[in-house]
Amino acid sequence: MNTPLFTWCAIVIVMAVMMIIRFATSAHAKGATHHKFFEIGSEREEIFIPGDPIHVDDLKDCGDDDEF
Amino acid sequence: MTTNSDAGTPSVKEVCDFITRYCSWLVGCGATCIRVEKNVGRIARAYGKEADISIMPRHVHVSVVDDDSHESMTSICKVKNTPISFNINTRLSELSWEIADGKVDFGDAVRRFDEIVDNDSQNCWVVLLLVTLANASFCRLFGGDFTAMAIVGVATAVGYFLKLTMLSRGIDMRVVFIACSFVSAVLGATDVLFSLGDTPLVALGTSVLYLVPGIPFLNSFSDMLYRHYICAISRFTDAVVLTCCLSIGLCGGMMLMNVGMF
Repeated sequence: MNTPLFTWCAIVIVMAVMMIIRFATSAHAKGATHHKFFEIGSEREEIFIPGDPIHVDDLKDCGDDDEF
Repeated sequence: MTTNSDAGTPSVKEVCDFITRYCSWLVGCGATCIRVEKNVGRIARAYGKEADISIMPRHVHVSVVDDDSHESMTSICKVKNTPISFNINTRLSELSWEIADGKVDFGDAVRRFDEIVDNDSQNCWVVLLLVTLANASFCRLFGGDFTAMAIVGVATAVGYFLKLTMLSRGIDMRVVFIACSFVSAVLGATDVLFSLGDTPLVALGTSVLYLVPGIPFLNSFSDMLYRHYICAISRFTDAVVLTCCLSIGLCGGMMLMNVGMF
């Protein structure tokens, strides 16, 4: 590979990586305070029906514990 | 010597402190010396004072004298190290007129001043877009074809992005100019490297025009016309140094890309 082409490719790659990192960092910082476009939700969030109890603490007695 | 402010009339010390901060910001954001002199004189007269200023390359020296009591105060302050901003420049000049017209009292003027310097909300991405379009237009003015314009646009956008990134990390302006002109020159030589258009040298030559320090050159000329020779020479020297840095990066890029004189 000759020098001009190698220089051009190196600059393009370095700058592309810099821009991707910058935009990813910026998007990540905004994601902390804004709604994300994509995220993995909990089961409760996926099948929640209006009217369901807000707190899930009432299911705690259904588990196996030493009191049985 | 200072006095306490009575009802509605600021003391010499208050006016002197305000004018010193005002000068520091106005000079720092790229105003010419004659503009600073006129604005300061206007503000001081609105409060019944006389102000004399001495503008040095890195400092501002302000003396305020009360017309009635002849009390005086002198203050010196570093010039604010801030990027050139026409927005701050314009709004501070507007503030001086509002003070002179009696539309704001001293307390409101100080609050307005703080708002102006704290809320300079220029969107850097909008500026990047505008700089890109402006430089691509320059390419067209110099006879470049649309391929050259597109290449210059990309080279400018990437170079300006690099400039913003490096300046936000506090890197020295001269190093920033060398790096940005080098990157823009290499990207501007895309047309030469791949033979994409008919005006490759125009693309290369105009790819670094966005870095030319035009405002310091113009300000130095203005200062010289109004006999602020020290400031004029200082600003001219700054501009020449930045131009040399630009040239170093451009020459480095051209040399590595086997273009032009090398």
